[in-house]
Amino acid sequence: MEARVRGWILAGAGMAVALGCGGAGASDVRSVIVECAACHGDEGIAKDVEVPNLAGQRRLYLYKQLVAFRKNARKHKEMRVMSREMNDADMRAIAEYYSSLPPR
Amino acid sequence: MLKHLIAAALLPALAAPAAALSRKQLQDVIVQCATCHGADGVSRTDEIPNLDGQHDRYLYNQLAAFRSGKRPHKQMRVMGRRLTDAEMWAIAEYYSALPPN
Repeated sequence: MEARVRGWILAGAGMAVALGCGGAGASDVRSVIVECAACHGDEGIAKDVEVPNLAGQRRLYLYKQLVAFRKNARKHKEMRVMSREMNDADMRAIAEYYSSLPPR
Repeated sequence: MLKHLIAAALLPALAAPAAALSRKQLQDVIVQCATCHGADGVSRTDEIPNLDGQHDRYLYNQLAAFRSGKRPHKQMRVMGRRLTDAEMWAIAEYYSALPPN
């Protein structure tokens, strides 16, 4: 009985920590996403047909494209400027964010 | 007069660039894309983009960029160089019309 209670307390604490971290990460992403959203839309659906939708896109694909834009291996003026302001953690967070959005 | 005739002849081609492909021709082309991107536009691995529901103009522009080498990608360049302009439009329209999964 006592062991089970202890187990629940531990599980609860673990969940609180996980949620806390998730919350902090998400708020950081938000400040970066605002810049992406200008072209790619708030929900990852672009208004311009020449601009790709990102909602539900593959996570690793998105990350690799951001890296390629920064290195200029994939050439795109605007995306190069944007990506040069990002660090690796930003790129991973952006890829994670858009890949987790429901596609439409 | 001649100018008007030429314009009239060109207009339908511009308005419906994909109309040139038969259903069979489209299938033959999509089969090649499907190996990596899926016939349903859902890619098989995390490094390959989904294409379902993507904007047609974006897809067409990327195919053109792969073919010209402006967007460097070995496999996509090989694929792109085999495609006609009408095929590229047809591919773009096919995938953009699919419901996103």
